[in-house]
Formats: sequence, C-alpha cells, structure tokens
Amino acid sequence: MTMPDEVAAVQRLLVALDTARDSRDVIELAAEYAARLNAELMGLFVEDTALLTLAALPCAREVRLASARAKRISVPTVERQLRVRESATRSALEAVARMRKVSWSFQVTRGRATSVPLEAAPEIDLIMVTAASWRLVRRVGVYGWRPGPSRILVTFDGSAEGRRALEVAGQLADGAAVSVLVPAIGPRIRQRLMRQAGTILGARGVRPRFRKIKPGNLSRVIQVVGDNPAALCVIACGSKVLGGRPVEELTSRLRVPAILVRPVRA
Amino acid sequence: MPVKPLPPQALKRRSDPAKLGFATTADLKDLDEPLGQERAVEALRFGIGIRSRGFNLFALGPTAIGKHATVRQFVEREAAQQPTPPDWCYVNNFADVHRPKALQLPAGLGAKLQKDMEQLIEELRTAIAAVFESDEYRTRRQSIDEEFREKQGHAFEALQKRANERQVALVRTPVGLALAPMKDNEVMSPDDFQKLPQEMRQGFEATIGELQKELQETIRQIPRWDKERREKVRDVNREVTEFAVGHLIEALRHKYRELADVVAYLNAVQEDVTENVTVFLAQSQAEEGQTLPQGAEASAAAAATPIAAAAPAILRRYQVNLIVDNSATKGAPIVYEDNPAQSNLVGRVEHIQQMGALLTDFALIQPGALHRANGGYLLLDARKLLTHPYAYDALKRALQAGEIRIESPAQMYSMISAVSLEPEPTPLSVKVVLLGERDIYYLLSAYDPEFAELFKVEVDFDEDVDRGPISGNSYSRLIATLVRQHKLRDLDAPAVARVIEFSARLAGHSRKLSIRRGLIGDILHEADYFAAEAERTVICESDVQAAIDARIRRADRVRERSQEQILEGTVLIDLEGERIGQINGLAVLSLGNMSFGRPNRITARVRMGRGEVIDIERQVELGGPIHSKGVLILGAYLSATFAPDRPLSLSASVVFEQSYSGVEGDSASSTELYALLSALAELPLRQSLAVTGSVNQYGQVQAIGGANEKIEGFFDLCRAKGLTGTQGVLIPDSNVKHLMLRDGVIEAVSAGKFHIYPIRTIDEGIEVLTGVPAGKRGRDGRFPDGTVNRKVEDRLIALAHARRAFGAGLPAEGT
Repeated sequence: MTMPDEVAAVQRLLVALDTARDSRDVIELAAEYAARLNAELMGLFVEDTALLTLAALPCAREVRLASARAKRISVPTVERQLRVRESATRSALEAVARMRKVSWSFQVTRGRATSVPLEAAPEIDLIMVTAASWRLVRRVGVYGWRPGPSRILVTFDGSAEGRRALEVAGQLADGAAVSVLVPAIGPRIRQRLMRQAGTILGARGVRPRFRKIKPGNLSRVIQVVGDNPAALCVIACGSKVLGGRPVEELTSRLRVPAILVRPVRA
Repeated sequence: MPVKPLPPQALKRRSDPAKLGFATTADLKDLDEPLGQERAVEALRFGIGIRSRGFNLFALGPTAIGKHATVRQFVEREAAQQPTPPDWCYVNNFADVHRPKALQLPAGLGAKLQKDMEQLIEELRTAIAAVFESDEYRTRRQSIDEEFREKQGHAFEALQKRANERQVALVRTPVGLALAPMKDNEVMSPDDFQKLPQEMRQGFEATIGELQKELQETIRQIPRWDKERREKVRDVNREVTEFAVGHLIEALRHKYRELADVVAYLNAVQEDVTENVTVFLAQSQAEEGQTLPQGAEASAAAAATPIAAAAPAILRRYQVNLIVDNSATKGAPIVYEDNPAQSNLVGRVEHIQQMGALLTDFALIQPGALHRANGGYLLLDARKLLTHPYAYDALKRALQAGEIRIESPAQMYSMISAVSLEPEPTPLSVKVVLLGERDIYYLLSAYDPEFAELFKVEVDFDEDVDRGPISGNSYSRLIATLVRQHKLRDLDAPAVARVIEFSARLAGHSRKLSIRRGLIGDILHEADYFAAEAERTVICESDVQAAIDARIRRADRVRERSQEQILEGTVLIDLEGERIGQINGLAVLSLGNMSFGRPNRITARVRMGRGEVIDIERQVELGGPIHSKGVLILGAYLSATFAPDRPLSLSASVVFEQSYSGVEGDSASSTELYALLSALAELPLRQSLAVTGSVNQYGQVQAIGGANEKIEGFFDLCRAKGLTGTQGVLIPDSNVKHLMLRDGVIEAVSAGKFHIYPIRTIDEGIEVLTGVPAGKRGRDGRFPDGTVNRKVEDRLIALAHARRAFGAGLPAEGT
C-alpha cells in the first residue's frame, strides 16, 4: 500500500462576512475551526455592491426588522450602517479570537459577497463561506451543543487539494461522521481513491463512508449534504466532483457552512 | 474632763491568725455561695426563675465585686436544667429576595439542612446537566428551533419567490430587508431604472409597495413565532427539570416531613430550580470554561439577586445561612457579649463590594448576641451597652416586640443608600442580665420609663460584709476560693489575717470586710509574685505586706511631691508652736487607685461687721455647695451659742491657704470653726495638731470620710519632720470605728509620739487645741471667766457695741 504524498499544513483560514450572514455565529464557528487547525483566522468583511446599487434606486424600500416600519433607503445611510456593522464585526472577531487564542486579522473590501472571497490572495489556504440566512432572530442556544460539526462531507479526487481537504476534514472531525464524495469515474480509480482516503482519514482515527458523485452533478451534492445546520462541507476548489463548474455555483446553493480548499502551493 | 487620746488597740482591729483555725488555705473548702450577697442571691434566684415578660435583671454594684461570676454561676445552674433551644437559619425568599425567610429547626437539624442543601445543589447540577446533555433533550430542543427556523425561512422564501416572479429582489440590509427592481437576477442599476418607461417604473413602485406590506406583515409575525418557540422551550425545560429534580427534592421533603416550614421551603426551591434551570446550566458551563450558550435565558428572577448574578456564586440562592447552631449546646445557651454594639446585638446584613456597588443577599446576614442567646440568657455590661450608639434602644425594641429584627442604623437613618435586606424577624425569648454600677441603674430608673418595664428585677450587690467571727471564717474560704480560681500559691494563716486586715481597710471600716473580689484577687496575685521571688511555696504575711507596700509605692509619687513641698516650705504648714486663727485642716486626694491625706492651712480673720462669715473659697467659686453649707453652719453656731439675743456684729473670713483648686465637702467645717473661735478669743491654737470633722449647729462633731488616709497623711509629714510627742490628729469620735491604721502610726502612738483624739463636740476640740477650758454657761447666763467661750462672747459683745456706737456716732464701750 502506498502512502499518500505529504501536504503542507494549513496556515490561514479566511472567513467571509457580510450583512446577509449571521456574523457572530459564523465567527465563532470559524474561530473554532482555526483553533483546531492551528491556523490564522482572517476576517474579510464584504460591502456588497448590490446593496449600494439598491440604495441608489428611488423606488427601493427598506423594512426595519426591529419595528417593521418601512423607510426610503439612501446610499449615505447604507454606507454609515455598513461602517457600524464592520466595526461590530471586527470587535466580535477580535473577542472570539482572543478567547480561542487564535491569531487574527480583519479586512474590509467591496464587491459581490458571493464572489469576492473566492478571489482572495493565493496564500489563503482555506476559505469558509456560509449560506445567507433568513434567520432574523438569533437562535436560542442549547446546553450541551458543542461548536463543531456533527457531520462532514468532503470531496476527494486524488489531487493535492483533495488530500488537503481530507486532512482538514480529519482534523475537524472530532467524532463527527465523515462522508467522502468521490467522482463516479472508473471503478478501479474510484477504489484507489477510496483506499487513499481511508488511509488519510484512518491516520486520524476516522472511518469514512463513501458516496460516488457524477462529476458536475451539483444537485446531487446538495441533496446529499441536506440542510442539517450542524453539517460542514469541505470542498477542494478544483475537485473533479464539480465537473469543471465554478465552486461558487455550488456554495451559493448550499444551506450549510463550507470550507473551500485552495490549490496547494508549490 | 479633757479628751484623752485613743489607745493603740483602738486604732486597728487586728485579725488573730491563731483564731482562724487552719494552717494554710489548702485546708479550706471553696465557698458554695457568694459571701455577703444574700440579698443579691435571693433576687437572682427570683429573677432567673420567673418566666414572665419584662422580668429581666439588672445586677448593680461597684466594679470588681464579682457580679459577673455570681450571675454566671446562678445562670449556668438554671440553664443546665432547661431545654436546648432550636436552630435558626435564613434562606432565600424566592418570592421577594429582599425579605429572606427565617427557618426554625430543632437543635442540630439546622446544620444538617445546610449540608443537605449543599449536597442537593451538587446533585442538581449533575442531574440537570445530564438530562440537558441527553440526545433526547437535544433532539427536542433542536426540533423546536428548527420549526421556528423553518417557519421563518419559509415565510421569507415564499415572499422572495413572489417578489422574484415580479422581478423584485429581496435583499438583506444592515438593519432590515429591502425591496428593489431586478434585472437579470441582479438588483437593477439606477441608470437602467431611469431608462424604463414611465408606466414600468410606476408598475415597479406599485409592486414594491404591495410586497412591502407583505414583508411588514411577515416581520411583525416574527416576535409571536419566537414567543411560541420560547414557550415551547420553557415547557420542555420544565418537564425535563421536574424529572431530574423531583426525586432528589422529594427525598429531602420526606426527611423533613415533620417541619412544615422546611417542606414549604423545599417546595419553593423545586419551583425555583424549575423556573431557573438555566442558572444551573450556566454555572456548569462557566466552571468548564465554556462560554454561555447563545442567548442563554438566565431568568430575570435569577438576576434579581445581585450576588447571584456573579457566575461563581450563582447557586448561593439555594444555600442555607445557619445563623444559630445549637447542635453542641447543652441546655439553654448563655451568651456574654463583650462588645454590645447595635450590630453585635441584633445582627447585621453585611455587604460586598462589586463593580463599585455595595451588594448583599441573605447569605450575608450575620447573627447577633440576641440570636445566639435566644431561648437562654444574655449577659451585658450596662456601661458598654449605653456607650454604643443605638445599642440600648435596639435591645429594648427587641425585648418589647419579642422578636429580633435586623436593622442597620445607617439604613434606618438613611445615612447610606445601598441595596439592603429586611430579613424576617425571629421570635425572641431571652432573659437579659445587665451588669453595671449603681449610678447607671438609678439614672436609667429615673430617666427612662421603659427601663422599669423591661428590667423589673434589681439584683443589688453589697461591697462589704460584717466582720463577725463567722464572716471571718467565710472570708478565709473566699480567699481560698480566689487562690484556687487564679491558680496561686496557698496562703498561711498570718497571710490570710493580713489580707483580712487589708480588706477591712478597703472597706474603710474596722468592723466590715470588703468583698470586692477583683481587688482582693489583685493583692493575692501580687503577694504570689513576691512569694515566688522569695522562692516560697506558700504566701506568707510578709509577702502580703510587700504587695501592699509595693502598691502604695507605685502610686505614691504625687503624695511624695506634695509632702516635699511642705517640707521645703513652699506650702506653709506649721507643725509646732501656736498661732491665733490658724489651724491645720486635712483633705483627702484621690488619684487613680491611690487616696492620701494632705494637711491644709486654714486661717480665719474677724472684724466688725453685719454678722456674715465669708467663705473665700465660695466667693471665688472654688468651694462646692457642701463646703459652703458647712461654712454657713458656722455662722448659725456662733449666733446661737454666743449672740442669741443680740445681733452678731462681726465679719469673719475663712480661707484654705494655698489652695488652687476646688474644695468640696464639709469635713473641714469643725476645723474652720476652731480657727474662727481662736481668732475671736485671740487664743492661739497648737500647730502640732491637725483636725478633721464636720460640725452641726449645736457644736456636735460629725463623722467624715477618709479618716485613715487623713491621719496617715499628717503622720507621714510629722514623721518626716521628726515626731515630737506633741503631734496628733483630732477626729470625730464617730469615726473611731473606721480606723484601720498602718502599723507605723500605731507604733508611734504606742510610743507616745503621736496622738489621736476622738472629739464629740467643739468644746472638747477647742480645749485640746488651746489648752484652755471651753467653759459652760453658768446660772448667770455667762461663761466662766478665762474660758474660751467667755473670751469669744466678750469679743462679740464688744463688736456689737462698737457697731452700735459706730452707727450712732458714739465712742465704743469697753467690756
């Protein structure tokens, strides 16, 4: 049995933050993952240009969540509100990172919330994205819930990124059930991939289950993932499972957090 | 008959060791009953025995008389026969945290309940954590949350779908949701919107208006959905908690089933735990170093107790504050509170400083002496009680109300403004014994009407006892008792005899003995020291004498300086020769524990006048009222004795020479009269004599205080100058029984070098002082020629004539 090639350790985890996402939940989750991976946590707050476009429209209406009252919306108001949110998000990130003893940094950028994080610098190893949430009232916590996923789905196609995705999934598992999504290509190759994945995860005490996915069948991936909020997807950006389709096409439809594994640098 | 000086045996009543009937105090048994306190003992028995309200006791008498020991001895005897009172606890009042509840339990059960509650808290934490960590609970909770999330998500997704179908985007903004026209699945740019035809723009606006109403309606529903969710969560929590907690508390309910108040408290605990289960969960998580669950609903009730709001102390609300633990008490408790401050009597509510604020809760209630003595006896020093602000009032309030109400004076008088408590009062049944001096008792009786209602039993302690043969024997046993109590060496019989003599001197009476145990105990301690120095196993007479001498020596500085001033001639006192209108008076100075006699020159001058005797001390306000009274008596004596039928036409002035401080008392009134008579009769007085004694209008000499000290004071001065055999002191005859003089004086008297004259009348005294007969009125109504009284009368008649002549402008007649 051949041992898989060694992959470089993860150094940086970027978490994408914007007004459509529940920042505090996302930050806590990201900090937990960064701590487990021993990686630096980088917060990237995206000022969504769609919001600013909307604010410039004369017919746009905003309904306040705290009062259900409708107001006209304006660009200066939105920009001011964004600054407030940025500041609050930065403070939250700092507090959580300090508590978790994780090194951290924070940046603000402007663009489309769904695509900007994926254009991050190549030295970013992992990018964490979460689904936009309709949850307007914070969830009431339940004693006994532990941060971290109860179920992990990870793509593996034998590539270096794939191996890193498995490493990440193995590190974050901590008792969670791990399902490996392998491309439905020739049975021999698939068997080999399953053996490799079994070896990598087995080294971390994880015994995975396997799902074959026809390359590019994103609907099937979404179906397999489901909408369990305690689930986590670990996806290699160039995985053959995606069948060459952009990863944001998948992440925009996912209802669970996802960690995207960037190509491994030489 | 001229007055004869007293024989030596009249100057001191000695105690004969041979008649004591024992070799050392080791042969004697302890005293069973307090010596000479029959009246006090009777009152004590009555006061302690009677259970009616208001029959508290006041033990009055001088200090160091053994009041405390005697009271304690009787109270202990009675307390041992009485049942042990219950324990008292304070617990949280879950309905009103500012009014903690008092729980009464049989003696010993308070500590058990306290321990049971501590254990219950631990068990609850474990049991509650276990059920809330269970998969079943998680599933139910997640299901409720998911239902809420789905309801919310479906509503917005449906709205979004309807909006998208009408080319309108629903977008999250930092503070809400916004609706805007779409183009190519993106928010339409302002430029594109402006390029739209007017009708389309109006159409979008109308559509957005409709969708906005739907959106507002959906958002308005969110709080209702969330309330439903919270109620469901609460129901699940309650159900799970009751399951986890019920059997644990039921076990305690069964254990304390006989105690209705405790069962009611346990019911309240169960209800509170169920209502505030998140308190337990938060505490457990805090201890595990976790953050609180998101949105953990620490209840408002939990946060209402400020101390409990601090995570490490959050479970204090279920603790039991055991303020009275009688588990080790046998019979009724006896409490002596040495520092009877208000808070030490009725208890206090302590505060802790937290974030700059003063906070408190029921666990910070501290009991007072009344709590500890409840069901038994409380002994207090009256002087200390009265010198502590608000303490006496607090004690009275508690006794009147029959309950202990913990109140802080600072709160009562609004001196501080901090969160405080009003603990439920505890019923009070206590017998209070105040111990204090007589003055305090009489002052309280006179000025505080409530005092008589609350302290109805007067326990009056005597400070001395008759010195009969039986008392002598009992007194030896008192000494033996003190020796053993203080773990001192035993005394041999001569030493005991010397202590008895010392005691008589303390009593100031040859036929009385002092029973001030404190003072007798002190001299025994000091004698024991000298016996130890001499390496003796038994205290001898010389040790007792050494102790007495050393005590005098230690306090003798002022007396020495005073005597030194006389010997140096700074203070003028003649001890020989004769002078007209000049005499040696005797005063007593008391400084600390030392009293000593000091001679004072008193002079008198006379001249024609309107019959007044001027007290110079009074004129300059150095004389007290009793002294002034004595001087006024002189005028009355002169008028009645020498000028019954004519005006007293003299003006006399009397003065204490070289006296620069106040003069009080009438013990020098006879002395002043002798000086006055000398001045009137122009007969000189013997300066080798000193005089003390007061006088009445009939010329009778009356008893004074401090006779021993005065005699010894003059004797010491004479001895220092040299005893001549003519020196001595005139004392009232009625003071002879008080004499317990030092051996030095007695030896001098025995040797004929010093004399003590017992005087009954002024006539007797003036004869001793002048050597001239006083004289009695004959049948002719005149005093015999050559007598003192004749000379005085003649002088007064001459003054009267002179005054009349002076008034009529005629020459004065001779006599």
